[in-house]
Amino acid sequence: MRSTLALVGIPRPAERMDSYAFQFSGGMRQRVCIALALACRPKLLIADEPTTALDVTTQANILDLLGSLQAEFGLSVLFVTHDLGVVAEIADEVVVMYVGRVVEAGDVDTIFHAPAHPYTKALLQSVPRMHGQPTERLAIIEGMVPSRFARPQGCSFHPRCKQVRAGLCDQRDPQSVGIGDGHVVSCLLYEGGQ
Amino acid sequence: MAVSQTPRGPLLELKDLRMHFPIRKGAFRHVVGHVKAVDGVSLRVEDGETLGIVGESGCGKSTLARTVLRIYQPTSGEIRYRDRSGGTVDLAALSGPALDEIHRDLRMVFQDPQSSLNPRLPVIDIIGEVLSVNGIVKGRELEHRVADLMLSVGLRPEYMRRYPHAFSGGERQRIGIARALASNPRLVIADEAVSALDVSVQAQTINLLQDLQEQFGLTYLFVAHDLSVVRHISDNIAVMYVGRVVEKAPTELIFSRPLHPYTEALLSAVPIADPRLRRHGTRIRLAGEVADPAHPPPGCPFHPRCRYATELCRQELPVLRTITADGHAAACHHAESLSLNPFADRTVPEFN
Repeated sequence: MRSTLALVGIPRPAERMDSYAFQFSGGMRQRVCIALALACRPKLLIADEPTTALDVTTQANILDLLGSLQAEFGLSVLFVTHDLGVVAEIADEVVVMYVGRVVEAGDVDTIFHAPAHPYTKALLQSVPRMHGQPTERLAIIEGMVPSRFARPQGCSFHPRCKQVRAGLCDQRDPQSVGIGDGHVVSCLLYEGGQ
Repeated sequence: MAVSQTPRGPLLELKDLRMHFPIRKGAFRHVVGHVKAVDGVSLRVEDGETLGIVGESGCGKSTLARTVLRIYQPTSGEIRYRDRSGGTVDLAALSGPALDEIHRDLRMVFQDPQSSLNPRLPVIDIIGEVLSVNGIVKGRELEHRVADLMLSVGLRPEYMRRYPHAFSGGERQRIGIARALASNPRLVIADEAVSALDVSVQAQTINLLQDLQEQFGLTYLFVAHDLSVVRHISDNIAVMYVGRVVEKAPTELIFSRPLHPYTEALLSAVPIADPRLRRHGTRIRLAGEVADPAHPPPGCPFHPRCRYATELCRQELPVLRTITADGHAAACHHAESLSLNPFADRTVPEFN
């Protein structure tokens, strides 16, 4: 137990073992949670927004920690997040979801540099950029994410899609199509090319 | 509506503002110490600008926002506000009706649209309350004004009798913004106003805030921890650490030429949404924790985590001082001699 705490970078693990959760800072608490998950030496670690509540400086430390644990134990990590910056930092492969379905999947470089699905493209454009000239206005995706109980007919994204084709996208459910090495997209724009 | 052409100068000037919260212990509630949440902040907020305030949680940025609004009674210092007539009043010394008057000019947008709207009031009352409490309009006219406000933030006035739960997170934040705008404010303090929103909704809200600023000539104090959002929206940025401003400069200078080691570390920790830049530039990782504002370390509060710290830093508290002629101020003994890594170092791919 002590060694697991040491593994996740808790200083003086022997002393801190008797501490309660409220006696730790946010970053240290997240480290304890990771220790908890690692205690039975898993092969797959599922991390659901593990750094969303943390400051950037602490987030960077936790991401480093996950990276080094992964290298040490050969862990697979399923990392759930809405932060595209974090995805770009740590992921090998990326799966983009929209209202309960996978709309695009591929390796991280493809998703960021050659996205295929209109939703992925729009999502990438709506993040304020940290490099290059700042833009005057952010690109937005019109409308809201629909409720799970009122999923639109056809492609779930069609009411907000800039490339929507009437009579097609609002009728047919898109199937996933392979468009390159491990790059899969569910969009009717790509179905014709098969 | 055009932006009014009044001569622009500081709308708000904070002078050595302090907000210390007492720590009480024992049966007699003796004061055993103070949490120095805001500890000597001096800042100028120009009329019509957006000043971004960044820092880690617990650095006092929210307390600063609340103290400016006089939700708290500051321990010491001045909050000099230039009112509509052009005269200057010290908000720290005001109370009662005089303060109520000023509160129409200074409004706040809160972080969490879930908990900052009363779930038992329909939108017309949430927004209308500001109008009736301040005696701005009543009755029919109130309804028209609420409808106008809803339109200006992109909500449908037909929905004014609905309750907050009937709206999405982004729409609720728009209600919060409409409420802040109801009394025709001059300064809007946004405390993590877009942090709880999804990226696509966040982008809509940021665009809305910028449109409203242009339309009504608003000044923003934009408190946030997300540097990419702050960079996008701010003209100037103040970086806070343990109750103090450690660096202040025009936005681009903070990123291209940081002068405080804490700012350098903060920039270094920001994830960049481009996998090709993953291993570029120097990464600085801060060891240890943010100093406890009840027991800040002697000397520079950042020195235990600073990789450039010297004996001087351990003994003497650096003050915020102007370092270069372009308005770049930093509170670091070694600001002139350090050559810190700018953010750009991480964003230029190395070709070889």
